Amino acid sequence: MTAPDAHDRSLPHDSPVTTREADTLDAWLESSLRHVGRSRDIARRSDRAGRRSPNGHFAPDASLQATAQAFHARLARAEHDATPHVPADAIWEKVMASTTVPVPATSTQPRHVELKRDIARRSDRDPQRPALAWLTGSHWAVSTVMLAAVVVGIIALYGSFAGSSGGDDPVPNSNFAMASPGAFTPATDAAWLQPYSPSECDVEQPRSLEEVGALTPNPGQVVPREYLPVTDVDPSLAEEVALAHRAWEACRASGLLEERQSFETLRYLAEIMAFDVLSPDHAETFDEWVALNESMRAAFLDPAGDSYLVESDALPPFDCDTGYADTDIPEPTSYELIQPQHLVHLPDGRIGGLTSLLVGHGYIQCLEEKPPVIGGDQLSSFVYIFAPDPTRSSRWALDERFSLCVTGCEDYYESFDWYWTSTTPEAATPVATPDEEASAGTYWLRPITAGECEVEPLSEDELATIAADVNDDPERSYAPAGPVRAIVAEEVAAADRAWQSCYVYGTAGERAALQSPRLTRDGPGEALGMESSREAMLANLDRFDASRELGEVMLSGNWRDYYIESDLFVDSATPNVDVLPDFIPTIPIPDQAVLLTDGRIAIPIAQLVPPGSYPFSVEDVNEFPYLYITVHILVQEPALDGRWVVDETIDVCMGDCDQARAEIVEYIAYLDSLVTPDVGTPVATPRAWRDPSTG
Amino acid sequence: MAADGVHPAPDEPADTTLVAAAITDPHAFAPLYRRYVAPVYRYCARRTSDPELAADLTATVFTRALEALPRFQVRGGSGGTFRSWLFAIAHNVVVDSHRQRRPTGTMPDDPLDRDPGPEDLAVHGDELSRLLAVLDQLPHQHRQIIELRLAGLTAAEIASTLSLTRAAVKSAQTRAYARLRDLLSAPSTPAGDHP
Repeated sequence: MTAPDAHDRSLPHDSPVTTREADTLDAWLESSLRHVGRSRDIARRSDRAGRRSPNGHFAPDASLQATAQAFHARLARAEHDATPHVPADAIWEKVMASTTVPVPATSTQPRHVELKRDIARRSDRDPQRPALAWLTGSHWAVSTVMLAAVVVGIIALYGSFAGSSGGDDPVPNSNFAMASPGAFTPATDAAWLQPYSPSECDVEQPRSLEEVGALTPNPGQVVPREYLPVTDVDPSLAEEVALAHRAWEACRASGLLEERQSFETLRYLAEIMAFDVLSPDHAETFDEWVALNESMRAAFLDPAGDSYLVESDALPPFDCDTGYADTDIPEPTSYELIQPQHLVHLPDGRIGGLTSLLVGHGYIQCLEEKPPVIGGDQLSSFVYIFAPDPTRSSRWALDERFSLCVTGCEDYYESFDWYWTSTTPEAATPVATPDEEASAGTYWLRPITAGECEVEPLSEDELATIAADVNDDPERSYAPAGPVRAIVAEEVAAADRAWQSCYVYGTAGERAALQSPRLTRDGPGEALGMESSREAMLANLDRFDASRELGEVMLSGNWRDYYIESDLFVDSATPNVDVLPDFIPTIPIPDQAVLLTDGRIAIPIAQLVPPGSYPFSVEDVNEFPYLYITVHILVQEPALDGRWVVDETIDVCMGDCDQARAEIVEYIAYLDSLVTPDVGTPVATPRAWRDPSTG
Repeated sequence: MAADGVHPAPDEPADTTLVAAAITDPHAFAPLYRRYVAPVYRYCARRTSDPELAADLTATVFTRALEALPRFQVRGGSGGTFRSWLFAIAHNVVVDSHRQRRPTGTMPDDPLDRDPGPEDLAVHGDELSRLLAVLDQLPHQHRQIIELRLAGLTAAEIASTLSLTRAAVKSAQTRAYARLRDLLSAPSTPAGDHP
């Protein structure tokens, strides 16, 4: 090992480590791990040890690297010597013996029920043998193709978003011409199985990006959602809705964003990234969620067992070995469609149905003759729900869209089991001191670093547009509405951490991408109690009163929970360590997030402090009967893809808040005493009053 | 053959290529198996200290991976790779096994009755037992991180496997090695290769 020199800034062995040291060790491990296990003399590789960082102020702890180096090498050698040959063949045999996946080398018999080649033709289907039944096998290819179609659809959706110019759109007006579906006029049931053409995207008045950008999270009066029970749809109405879906698909496949948006309701546009009726977030328990899914399946799957996989001449033949690989798939690239007979009426007046997928001839026979190779028995499709759009002469428009499990649902459900088992039902109190053993409790207690500012920045033009477009301020509410599910709270906490990181380390564009346009316009408010004008203090008093209940619900009874000792701080009293590492010590506590009645989420901010440096001693706490805790309030921002962004930062009182309020009132009275009766405005601020230089 | 038993050599197909092929052709799964069976087995062996159980668990890991392969998706930007996905399965399989049985102690001297002679096995068995015992003294998460490091995973992959952030992984691993250093420096540990 290299002897320490005068510039050695290595940490002593028993000192806390810094994030910078962690980065250095990690970089070393990244580069050296590849050699561990194949080189017995790796322990002699010490050239990297002791390398100083370029700034000359910090060097990683070389002995840590040497430890890692030596330990890896010793363990690798010991394992190799004790077990020189991994029993790979024996393990492989076990895999082959236990897998349910048919593998040609070991499984030559088809493992699936016989398929009907004419399954696509409704008139030929056997009602005694639901065609859907064959989908309950391990039809990987069905899943794969369906999944591919869904992925293609999603990519197309986002691609069309990303590809839109947004700069020269027509100015919206209130006299929208009615957009009508194009030239598609099906005369028979079979005609509905024709893929749509781009000409079906026939829109006289697209919905501009400006119109969409002006949407609020809860635009106007919308019909309350109600899904069950469903009833039959009048055939002519069903065809009208199916045509609207075809037009929407045609616009989507053509990449015509604004035309496509004209077939979407304002609610869909506002919630496109936010609402999913079958999200686990909407069920308290796993069983409840499964029951919800099963109810939806019963409602939207054709009771006759119709197939949602349809062979079509419009696609090239499907080859069992090459698939479509040797033939170009013609446009349009997506083949999802809704057959009118699959549509049902929802009790809230909307109409919805499950999509079918077109496939090439031979596809189903291929499934029949060549058993699927890999499992993947889960098949899902999309339910599209349409509603009359008042902004488009009540034409049917897409109002909601969600994925529904079609078959193999047991495995699908089980894959979500973690959602309920991994969340803690009771709100956890953050531990006062991060403990190496308490990994779960310390996850959200790590300091915020510059690396967490990861976001696509808004351009200067976008910034200017946002600032200019924020005109109406919906009234803010601080009243608590209820708890926040853990997974949502963590998403909000992550968004807040990113915002804080960008606020300190990022650019204005990065920051603006993580905050609401209103916050971009207004900027974060000053901390409570720091305002100097009477008007500001009166506004503060209003906010204080409005947030009293929030503080009572959200904040725990112990102020020390919000000053958390962290040994990630470097002890600045030790001479041979670096100064405080670069991080932000104000961290959101997701366990205590609270939903507000206006749909926003409030999350308290705790502060990491060096060990032994609580701001107040236990004895002194009685002198501080109340405390202001910073709370960040986040909102889902439709103009920013519906992501959670910071909307407001406020201080919320905890402790004896009656006394806190009395002091604010007293302070306002004091300010009033400084007002000249004739003018009615403050003549001096307290700061000026106390400043000797002003007399 | 992988260059180091974990990472593919430059002239070998990437994991993503093999995964795509394995979805439609089971033979393509064999190279993936060969590439990862040793690190997965050793990972399981370290976590269980039982070679027979490790072999069973390894079989379970690859069985689950084979069956779930069509659902594998690379999570862009989060460090997610096939390797981290595979080790996430291994992690869950080992955790499940821990729920059902207690560790049976240290690795036997001659787990598979292979080449080394009795004397070698005794020496190396002691060394292995000692090192595994040191690992045992680490906090659970730290041990997990070091074991995944030993399996060749990067910080990003470990973060993806354990659902942590990269920063958390880096910080924890540094603490883990600091603790390891102290343990290896303890008087009860015979002098060895460590500094």
